[in-house]
Amino acid sequence: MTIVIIDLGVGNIASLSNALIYTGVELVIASSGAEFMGTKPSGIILPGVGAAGSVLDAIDERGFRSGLDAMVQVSKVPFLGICVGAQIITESCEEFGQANAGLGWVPGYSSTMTVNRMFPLPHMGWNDLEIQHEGKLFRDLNGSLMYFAHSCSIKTDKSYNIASMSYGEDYTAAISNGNIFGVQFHPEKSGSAGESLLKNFIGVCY
Amino acid sequence: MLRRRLIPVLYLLNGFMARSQLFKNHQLLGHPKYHVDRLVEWDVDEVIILDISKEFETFNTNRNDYREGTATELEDFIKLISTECRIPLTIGGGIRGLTDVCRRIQNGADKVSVNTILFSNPEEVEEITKVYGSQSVVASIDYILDGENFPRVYLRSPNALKNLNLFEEIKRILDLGVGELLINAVDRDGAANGYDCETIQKIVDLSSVPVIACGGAGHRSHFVDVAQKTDASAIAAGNIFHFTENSYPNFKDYLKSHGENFR
Repeated sequence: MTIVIIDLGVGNIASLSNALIYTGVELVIASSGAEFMGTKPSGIILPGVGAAGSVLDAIDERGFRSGLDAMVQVSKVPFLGICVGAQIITESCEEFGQANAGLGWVPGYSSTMTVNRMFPLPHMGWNDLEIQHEGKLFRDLNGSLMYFAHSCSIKTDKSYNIASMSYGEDYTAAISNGNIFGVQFHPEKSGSAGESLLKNFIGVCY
Repeated sequence: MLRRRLIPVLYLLNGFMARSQLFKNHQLLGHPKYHVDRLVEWDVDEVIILDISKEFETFNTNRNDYREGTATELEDFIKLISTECRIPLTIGGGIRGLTDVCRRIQNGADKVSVNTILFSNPEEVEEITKVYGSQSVVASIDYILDGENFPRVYLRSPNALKNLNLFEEIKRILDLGVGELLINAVDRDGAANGYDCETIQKIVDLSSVPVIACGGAGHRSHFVDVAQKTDASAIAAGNIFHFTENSYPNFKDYLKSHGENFR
């Protein structure tokens, strides 16, 4: 039982690995496609910090793309994308007025949320999770609060939208497509509720 | 619905936790690890740790009386406190450029708080927000009220520009792409006479990003006051959490009992 974290060199891998170590799972951090292909993951987690465009560039520069496609799309290894890591598994990510082609694993796209005085961006802090499809990932998590920190959100068909949150209007909080999951919030920073979600994902990987 | 946040701010002075008063007097309060552990136990919404040392990264000052490990490097220090920290951690103080941000974030900080370079090197702030995203960068801005009760930016460096108009500077800083404003009233720092609600609301009105109000909390009613009179996304305080038993959970309950929207 090994969980592999994809390390793209930007962002805080420490938060996620600390949270996972806490659950007692065996953890491997892969910093390149070659390292990644040498692992036998039961599950894969892609934490995403920063801009979607630079995350997608880093996936290519570090040689992850073909390995990720093979493991996730062909071998159906359970995958969890976090925040920007969830946005980039859709077909397209729009930011700074520019569209970047996503990995296309889940139909849909991400774009900047609506900003106004009562709802400043980034959407930052603890918000209620409204679960549409509980599945294994959200077991016992209905009504829990999760920590969000983002300005773009995912638009997808409701059959892929497994949870929402409200911030002036309704937005996607989590998506899934078979073995593939994406969460807009940060489970590694969401206290005990976030820890339960990570444990649930590990449960999916067994 | 998004909850408003109540955020403890911890001040570090040469590796010790310190109490700050009017930005001048500091009383040392021991090893920071104990303070962070207590905040984690209280399940606080977020933590902000600001290093106010003059010479940065002097973390090891006769600390061999502590059972906890000591840290002589910044990396070790952030690792030490972030390992058990399952909530968002913001680290500030001494950040001069992208490399400093990288060192903090890769070792467990979720966000960084920048202050001096907002004024001395704004281009670098723009670069930081591009690489790490707006949501990782908190602009920490200190101010004082002048003789006419008008807010002016307060900068600690003796060579710094004087009399900068706070509101104009905030507009300029928002264009750098920062994700939050941490607004600190210097003349209320540690004074415990309540928040400057008027200035805070003016800033909220002109800001497109969340505003964190800081400076002046001396009684739990001050939290309710700033929550009712302003639309600040978050309320931060330092000293008040140190000196009363179970302070944070009690303040949260008090805010919620007044109908305020907190976690």
